[in-house]
Amino acid sequence: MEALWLSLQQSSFAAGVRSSEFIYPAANVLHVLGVIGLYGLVAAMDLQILAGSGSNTLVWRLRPYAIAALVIVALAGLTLFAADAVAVAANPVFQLKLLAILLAVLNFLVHITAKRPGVLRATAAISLVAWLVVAALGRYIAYA
Amino acid sequence: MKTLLAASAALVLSAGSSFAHHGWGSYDAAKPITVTATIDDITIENPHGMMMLTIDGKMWHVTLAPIRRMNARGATADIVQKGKTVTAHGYPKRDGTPEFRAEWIEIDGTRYQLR
Repeated sequence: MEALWLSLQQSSFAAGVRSSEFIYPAANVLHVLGVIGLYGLVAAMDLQILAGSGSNTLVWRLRPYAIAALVIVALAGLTLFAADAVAVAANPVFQLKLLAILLAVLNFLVHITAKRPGVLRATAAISLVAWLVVAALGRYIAYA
Repeated sequence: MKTLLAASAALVLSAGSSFAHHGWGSYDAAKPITVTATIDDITIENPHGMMMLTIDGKMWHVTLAPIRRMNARGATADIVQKGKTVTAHGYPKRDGTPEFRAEWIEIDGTRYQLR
């Protein structure tokens, strides 16, 4: 696995990110803005579901934007990761964050295939917490 | 889904196989060190630059700042150069690795704050 991170870190893309004065900070800003956008959308959808009015028009409207935000966050995150892949991959908080992302995505997959109101509400509640945990762990990588 | 799980499991298991030079908490601010040496090598890059100094016959990695901050503080590439004499003050790694995070560096009588 480490060989993979090393080859990513030694790629010309990663070298370009490291040597540029602005790419890394720009990706950093974009990553944070993306997280804000993503969580705003996630919270709006989850709260709509938890309010349980039965009308989920808002969820259908917002979901594509949330997925777009997640893609932006992931691409910006990959840029940051590539620059320093070997050290970051070995960071325990980063590993925990990946695990939290995996659980949050699995939770989303359960949610979109669920029919029972109880499951829909439970996954919405989990989502509300899970994405906050992901963001918190992300911020904590630098201190691990 | 199985691939995703396997990939993340593999990543989790690869923990500790390489040392992470990151984490501000891994530097011991209670044991500041100040050294003067010749810059053996220097890379000015993001997320932070790094210079190599030989201290008492041992090669030390000295963590600098992001490119933008280095430039903003005046510690540009034409000043922080290989072969120059530098005085660096910073905090060493807690685990004993020969690496310290520079709080400031001084070259040709000018001190550049990096934090």
